[in-house]
Amino acid sequence: MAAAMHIEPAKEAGFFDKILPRQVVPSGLLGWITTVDHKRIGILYGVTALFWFLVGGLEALLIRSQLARPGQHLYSAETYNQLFTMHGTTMIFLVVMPLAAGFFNFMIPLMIGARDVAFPRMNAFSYWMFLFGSLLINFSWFVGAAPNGSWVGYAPMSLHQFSPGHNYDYWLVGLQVLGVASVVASLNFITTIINMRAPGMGMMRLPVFVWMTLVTNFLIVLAFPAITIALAELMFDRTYGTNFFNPMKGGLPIWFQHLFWVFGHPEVYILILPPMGIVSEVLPVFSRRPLFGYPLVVGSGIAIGFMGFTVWAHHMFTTGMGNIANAAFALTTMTIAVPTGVKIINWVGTLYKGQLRMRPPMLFALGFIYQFMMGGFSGLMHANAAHDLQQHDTYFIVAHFHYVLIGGALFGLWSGIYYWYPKITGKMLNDKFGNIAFWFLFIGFNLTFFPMHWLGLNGMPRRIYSYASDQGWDQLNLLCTIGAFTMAVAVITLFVDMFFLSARNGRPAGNDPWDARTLEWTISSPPPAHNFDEVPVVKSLDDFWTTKHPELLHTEGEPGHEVADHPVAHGAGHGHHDDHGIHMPGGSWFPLLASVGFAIGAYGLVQMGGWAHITDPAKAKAVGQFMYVAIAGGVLGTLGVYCWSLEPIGGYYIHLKKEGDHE
Amino acid sequence: MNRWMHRWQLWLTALLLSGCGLSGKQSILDPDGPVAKLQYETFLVTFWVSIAIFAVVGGMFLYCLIKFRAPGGEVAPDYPLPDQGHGNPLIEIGVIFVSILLVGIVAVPTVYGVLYSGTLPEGEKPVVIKVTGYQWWWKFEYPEFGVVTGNEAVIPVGRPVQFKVQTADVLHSFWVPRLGGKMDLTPGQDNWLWLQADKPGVYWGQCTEFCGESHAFMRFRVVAKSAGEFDQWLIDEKKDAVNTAPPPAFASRQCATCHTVRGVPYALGQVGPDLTHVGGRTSIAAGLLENTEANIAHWVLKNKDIKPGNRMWNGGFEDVKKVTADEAQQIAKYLKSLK
Repeated sequence: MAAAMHIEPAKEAGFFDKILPRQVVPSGLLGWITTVDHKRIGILYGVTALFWFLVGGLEALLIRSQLARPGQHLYSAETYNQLFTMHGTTMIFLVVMPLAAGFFNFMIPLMIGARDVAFPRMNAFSYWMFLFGSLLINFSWFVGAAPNGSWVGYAPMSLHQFSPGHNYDYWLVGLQVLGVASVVASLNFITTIINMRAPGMGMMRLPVFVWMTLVTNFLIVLAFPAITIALAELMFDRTYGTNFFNPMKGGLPIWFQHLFWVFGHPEVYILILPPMGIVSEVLPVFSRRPLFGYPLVVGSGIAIGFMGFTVWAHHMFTTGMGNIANAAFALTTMTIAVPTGVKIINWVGTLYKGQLRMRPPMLFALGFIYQFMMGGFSGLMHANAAHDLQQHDTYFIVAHFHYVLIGGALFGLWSGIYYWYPKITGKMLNDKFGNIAFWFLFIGFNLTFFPMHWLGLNGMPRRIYSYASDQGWDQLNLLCTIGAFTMAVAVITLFVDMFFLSARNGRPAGNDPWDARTLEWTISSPPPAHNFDEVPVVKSLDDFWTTKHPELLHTEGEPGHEVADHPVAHGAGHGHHDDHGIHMPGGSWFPLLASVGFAIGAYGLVQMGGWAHITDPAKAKAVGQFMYVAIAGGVLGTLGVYCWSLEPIGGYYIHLKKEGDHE
Repeated sequence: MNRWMHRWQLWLTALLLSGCGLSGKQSILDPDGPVAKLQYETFLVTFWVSIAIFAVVGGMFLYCLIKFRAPGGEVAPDYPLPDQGHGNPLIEIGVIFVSILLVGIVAVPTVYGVLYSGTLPEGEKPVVIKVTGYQWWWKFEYPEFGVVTGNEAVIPVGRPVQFKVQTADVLHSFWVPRLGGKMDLTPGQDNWLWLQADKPGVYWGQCTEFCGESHAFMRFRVVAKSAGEFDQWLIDEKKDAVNTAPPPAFASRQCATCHTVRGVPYALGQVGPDLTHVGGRTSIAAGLLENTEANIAHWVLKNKDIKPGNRMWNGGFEDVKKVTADEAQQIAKYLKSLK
């Protein structure tokens, strides 16, 4: 046990420390801006995502207010179209993905017994790119040009001839920046999980959350190229006069849809798998028994990942692909129900014969099970391509995806917040507030979105800024709006608790407030900068649980059997016997600077939007000037990356003092 | 066509679902034609499979929540542990098999329904209507009969109708819920769908692919008439306008730039709906307003408020004065007379 730490700066310094001095030990605001510590980056992701959650939620309340009564004009149709576009884009790319990324960042190294991720500076770079991408896309509000063509941005409406403003330019460039953040982070996490596991942590001893993270990050790497191409081609059409999607010149708008959905469908699995991983962590802890069928829960996650690439055109049943394509995609879509059903059965099996502790993390996980199941039913109904011709683009679809995205993903992420907040902050959240938040969210959510099934079946299309009273949709719409404001109460409750009440007065958590099963609970809350004093040697699945309950450690033929005989994992750092101590990296300016460069370049690209289609020569020249901004930004960003590669490691060593050590 | 469901099950579900006030003008649970009916029946299979799974899995879930709740909702770490089983391979395999079986049960009507919806029926040759979607209205042409109209298509009862859909600008989607599922208007593709109405009536439709500012109000109607009435309608529709002397404002406000009124020599515009027989339609403004003189006048004066972003003008540019209320009344009276 370390009684105290002795800090010794690493000797390397040089050119870069003269021009961009780095702190040896991170402190203050500078410490946060130059951080490469996965825990700090995780907090940055989480706090930023929660901010955008409020923005996206406000957009939702504005939408629901407008739709509460027929024929309202709270604001213009154009504003409504911007609101629903930004609501979807925000919630998917600026909330659910980065909240999950926040948990990946903070928890993955801890769960695998590592001291950090494989590429700490790249980790910081991902965060800054995310932040700048989110700011760029939302900056559009201030110039009255927020994206207004739905979160999918189909051509030909996204072409310059139908959308001459910069709305789509902000959208597609912003998403490209966010895409870079995601793909770079994925490469980092895949490498981390494969290469940096503690000794004894074989793949089938990984916590399910780590497995789901691994699958998700593979999905990101494989799916994002499709949308990158789609958005790049759209940008070329809008700005450089190409005709990929312009039907007047032989382009095919349907091609945009295919490219988008080849990304878009795996994207929804990217959104749901991490929360499923969280639920798979929380249920065993709060049932006090192992996850039922661990290998199949892992296997079904992998299966869902693969199969997610075979179903994309179920978003396109009404586009006229032909009977064979419709039938084929209907069948592949239905088949995904099989591994998904396995997961639900395994979760219920975990509860069976357990002792269910109804604390807030558990409540949200249980809500997930019910609501994801309901979303699965409507999903099955959509998979029937024949009837999807009726359901498509109606509120029946809106109901489905909110059931899986809020009822599923968001409830899973909130479960993670309640579960891991003590580890991150060292303080417990307030149980009473947690219960209030749960019930308001559960009731509010179901009140908002269950009636939408009926609205869709009664013929209400989606993406409409208003509706007439002659349709019979009035009462249910009002109900949905009441539900939305009920959900808002839950959000306020959570935020007040997280950022004020418990942040100041929360009970100290200690290492293991939940009596949990995985490695992150073996260290202090919050963890020290170096995570583990000694790199753990893992002997089983749920290693901490078998440490606490050695009688459960099986000696033959069952999961958790093999006593550690595995080669030492590389990169996990060496323990206290090493004279050099634990090396901790210094902060770095370059991830931030490179991101700033690319953000400037992105802004230039946005402002260039429509260049090739501008007929007035003076205006075209003015817009063309932004090419210099784009190039300058790109050069700056590249310079940042180059310098980053030359930067010495710097940092410091931690020497842990043991009892009985002499000074 | 009770292929997949017993009669009593159909009645029960019809009761359950449409009893919840789900028989609005655009309801998909109250089918009025064979395509919608068949699609609805395939839906019922997925509905009942879902109910069955809900009952079993939901029941198990609820059972666990109640039976295995820790005493007092929380226990101390030293409280004796419950059963520590890891799983049961037999149950896993069973679940996988049952899931595959249920998928199979759903798959058969699905594939049948896809083929049924996407194949013209044997026998009677369908009436062909060419649909062109514009931001934010619909043109309907009957190539076989030389008829052009806008926003309201008339079809014969009991006969299949093939709608060949094209767009003049962005994506749209053609949907008449009570008669059947929708088809997108996708540039570069020759999409079509077939529908049929079982009885006379007015069936409401709406664009269901986001198409810009006034997507919300790009509605339309399909009117089903008996065979005799349909034939008569074709004859009447082909004729020139019954009144070829519009009020002066019609010319001076340049309505003819966008609209056609056959028989009025200068009214050959193709940008907006054909108005030759607009007086006989049940609705105006693309299925949005009932077709009355008052509403037509209202539309002429205030169309930019009713459908923001639309390109219809009513004067007020260059040297063309804005339409006055009186002039709008005259135009409305004229148009309503064009039966």
